[in-house]
Amino acid sequence: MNTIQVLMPLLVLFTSLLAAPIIFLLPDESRTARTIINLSAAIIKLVLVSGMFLGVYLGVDFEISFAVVGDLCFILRADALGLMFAGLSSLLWLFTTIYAVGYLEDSSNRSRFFGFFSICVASTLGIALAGNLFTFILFYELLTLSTYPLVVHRGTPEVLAAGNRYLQYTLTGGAVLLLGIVALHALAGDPAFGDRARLAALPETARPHLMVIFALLIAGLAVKSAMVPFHGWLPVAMVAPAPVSALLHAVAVVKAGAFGIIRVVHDVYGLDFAHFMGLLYPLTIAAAVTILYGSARALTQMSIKRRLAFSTVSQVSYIIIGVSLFHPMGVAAGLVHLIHQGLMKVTLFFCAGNYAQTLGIHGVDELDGTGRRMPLTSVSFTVASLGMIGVPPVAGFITKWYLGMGAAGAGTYWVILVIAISGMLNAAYYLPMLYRIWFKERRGDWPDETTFAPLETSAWLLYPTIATALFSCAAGLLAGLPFSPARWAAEIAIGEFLP
Amino acid sequence: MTAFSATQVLLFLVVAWPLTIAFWLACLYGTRPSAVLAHRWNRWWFAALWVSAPLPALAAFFAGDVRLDIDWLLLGGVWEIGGLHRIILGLTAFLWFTAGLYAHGYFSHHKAAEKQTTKDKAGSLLSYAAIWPLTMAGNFMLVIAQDIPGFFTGYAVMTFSAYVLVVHYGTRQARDGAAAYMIMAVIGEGLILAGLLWGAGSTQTLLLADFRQALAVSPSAAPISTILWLGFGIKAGLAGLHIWLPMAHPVAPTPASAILSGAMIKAGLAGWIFTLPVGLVSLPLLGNAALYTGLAAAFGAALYGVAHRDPKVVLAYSSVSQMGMMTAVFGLSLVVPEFWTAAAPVLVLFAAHHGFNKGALFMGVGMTDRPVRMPAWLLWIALALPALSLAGLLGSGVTTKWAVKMILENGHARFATILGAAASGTALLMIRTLYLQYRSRRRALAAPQPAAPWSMGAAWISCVIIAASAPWWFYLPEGLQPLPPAAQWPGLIWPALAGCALAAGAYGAVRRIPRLGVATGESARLPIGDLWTGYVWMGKKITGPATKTAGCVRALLDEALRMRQALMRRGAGLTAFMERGELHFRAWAGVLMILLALAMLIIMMAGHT
Repeated sequence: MNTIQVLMPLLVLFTSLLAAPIIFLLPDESRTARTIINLSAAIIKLVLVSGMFLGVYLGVDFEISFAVVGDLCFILRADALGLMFAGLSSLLWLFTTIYAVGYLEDSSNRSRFFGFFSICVASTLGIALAGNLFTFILFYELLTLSTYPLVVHRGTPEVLAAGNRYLQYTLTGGAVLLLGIVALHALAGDPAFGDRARLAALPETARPHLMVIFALLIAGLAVKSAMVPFHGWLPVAMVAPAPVSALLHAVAVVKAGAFGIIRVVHDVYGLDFAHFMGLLYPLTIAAAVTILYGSARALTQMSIKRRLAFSTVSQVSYIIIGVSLFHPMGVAAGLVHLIHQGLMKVTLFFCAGNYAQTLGIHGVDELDGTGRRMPLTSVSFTVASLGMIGVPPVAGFITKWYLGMGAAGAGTYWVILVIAISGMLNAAYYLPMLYRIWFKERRGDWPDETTFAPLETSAWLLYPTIATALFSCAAGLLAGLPFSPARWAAEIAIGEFLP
Repeated sequence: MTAFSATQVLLFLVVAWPLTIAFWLACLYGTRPSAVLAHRWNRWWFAALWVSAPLPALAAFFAGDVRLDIDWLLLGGVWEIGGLHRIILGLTAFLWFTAGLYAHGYFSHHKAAEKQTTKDKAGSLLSYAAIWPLTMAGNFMLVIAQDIPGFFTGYAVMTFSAYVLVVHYGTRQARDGAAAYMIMAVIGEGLILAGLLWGAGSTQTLLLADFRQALAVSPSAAPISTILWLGFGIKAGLAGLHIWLPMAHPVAPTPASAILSGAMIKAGLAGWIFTLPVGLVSLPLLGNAALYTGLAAAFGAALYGVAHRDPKVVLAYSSVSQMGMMTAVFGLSLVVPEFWTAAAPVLVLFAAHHGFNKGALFMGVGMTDRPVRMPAWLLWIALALPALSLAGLLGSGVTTKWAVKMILENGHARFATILGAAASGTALLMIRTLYLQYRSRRRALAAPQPAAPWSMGAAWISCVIIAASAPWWFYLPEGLQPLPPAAQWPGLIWPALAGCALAAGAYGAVRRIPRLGVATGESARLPIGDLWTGYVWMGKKITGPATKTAGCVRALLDEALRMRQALMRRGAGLTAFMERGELHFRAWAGVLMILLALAMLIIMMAGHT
């Protein structure tokens, strides 16, 4: 293994980890320097991750590992699954950074914000590339701590209260997860991701322990992935600025939880073993309940961001239900929705931010007539909403297709019913918003309008929104292309079943 | 790199060209002031480009069978024209073309009539202009796509974008009608997706042809087929699910009504033909259900529709009635698979006949509610031709009736008679429509407004001609001639004549007996969406308890919160108590310790002695 292969995961991690202290040291006013550092770090990271993609595609390994103490190892490794998440993070980090520059450059404490922003992305990358549960939880906790300053950025009492709630949930979840990891370590040593035979090889007397540990691991992760009943922090954390919400929902926190569940099911226990032990079916049920509950709760929310938050609760469990189906297409659905949900949800939050920042709109009932005033934002919102409902050719449909194939293939037909009902519920809360945007007329002035002629809003806000909307469309329409998320996910999933 | 033949490129353009036009207009909509664009609407190059959207589809219909694999599209796209797909594509393309030409004139006329183009009006015209080709692209794609994701994509794009075509005027009725359309459409999409996923998932297939084959041998063929039948049935105006049809048709702009009834409800029928295992396996329960709901719609819609006063509502009910007949024939093929070989081409002929004629009839409504530059005799001939044809007296109507009778003659003669009798209802509806149009024309001539532009008239007349002459050049099942032999005629046209006689009798009776006149006047108050009102009531009955339950849950949660707060207060009390205790304890600590030491001492000494 040559030096590049060893250094590559570290480089990817350090591009943003090193950017953080530099940004912390910059004064708030030096906007240009900060923006240049931010964007170049984001672009370098994207290039490096693309390089690793190509490398992994050609069969090159990227790995660094060393023993921390005893047999406990720190492992960073680029495998196909981790790269999916890393690719999503680095792509959306670029867009979110651009967006955040436009969104927050007038507020105070910008250096603090962008510094933690960088650490947050570094920890996401760490989660993506972590090669065992020990490394995973290091970055998982780092993520919790680095997102807290972002959530409470505005610093009002209400925001701080929400921040407390956020910490209560995530730290407790982290503690439960740690307990699970320690217990697993005591029982089975240090299983690296992908080392699926180790747990199955344990004596049968260890099986009950493994079940309890599975429950602990999933419960700990379920907090971040906002599964019912551990979802309470997500709608509350909506007080964060729009780019943070976008990051929380699409890339970082929620996804870290979902990704962790994928790792546990797919790479620690292994699907066969988890299925054999009967651990998957309860997970399917929990995810189905979350899907329906989130959609039903979203129906009555009158704040745009809260409605989107409950939609996230529902959508993230698509990932989990997919992985919990004992079928390659189900796994593919879960993996691909990791990307698809990210692209679509980031678009929706960008749009919500655009409406808030340009016109001062926060409530669903204030959306009337925004289509004429902000056509491009509204088109992006429309595309992403239709994608969430599952209307082809937007990416959400591909997920539903894979999920249906998986559910039918695994014989759990009722999951198809859940998908259909959830789709109708999604339509029931997204379409009224679209109706207001396009077909209702505005009466009176906007609550708080800022003009950016000739564009409908600031270019920093507009172009990332359009880009992510285009990506969500392309991920569905061009799903047949070799490097599309759908193809990549299917390769991973089928590889798991046909080693 | 594989080289593509010219026909393959043409096949690609069938969908790509309307999409390009839609994209171009959407860009204009977003970037230019709408008044500029409203002005451009009447430029010849703009009009020519806009109307040209369905031309590749028309050319592809004539060019013949071709297949194109598009690996990068969705999960692998397979587009093909051949067999019945080609006929349905031709039907759809001709309708979109004539309706497009008609729509261009229609909206120019509206602009002229309003004498002003306010910003929003012009804007909504442009969004309409952009959505029109988008809906068209979806409609074409669902016909030519052989892969299930592609088919569903076309279907969904058409369904969702058609909402914009319906809601256009934004009045209260328009919003209600469009809402009825959308709610039903979403339910339909959900059912179709569930059916397709279930079927395709349990057979792991991507192509429609394989899907049907696999479904035929699947143990869950019946439930999957039922779900799909209901899902597509919403679009096809199945009795009970048809409610959006009479609500959406009258409120939509006339060219959109023509498309809805002519082309889009045929997409529901196409969905049945493409996905259900008809002709491969017998599904007696579903088949009989289809048969009887079809017949119920054929008669019921005719009876209910004749009471209404808006010609578009009457025509919409006529569509429900006609689709009912097609559903019945389809249902029979579900029961008797051998029947399908003969029935499929006839059903497609029926669809084409109804699609063209209904398109012409709807366009005709727009020719009587405003003045036209056309001699009255020509106008009335062109109005009567599709009406009589649909009733089965002339042109393609006779051919279709004959074809249906031919396939039913062997063993299903009674069924043929029943279907024939339903045609009397059609005749009644058609005469009612013509009468209503006569009245609306009188009103239109009395009010001063500009005459309809020539493109409306040209589009309408060409649709009338296409409709009447379709069997001669468009499509004819094998073994049939366009016109039946003379001996067959009396058996074919009696229902229509009976319907005419019935209409004449009813008219006379109403004239003679004033009480009947009052009763018919009252009948116009029947709700246009018939069962819709009932469904809304039922929905409220269901959601009422649900909200009540939610309220109970909320009250419970609140109660839990209160209990928690009370507990915390208790807890606080306990802490304070302990705090106080500790103070006392601290004050007396020295004494206590000495006492304790003394006690120990005493115990130890007691132990020694």
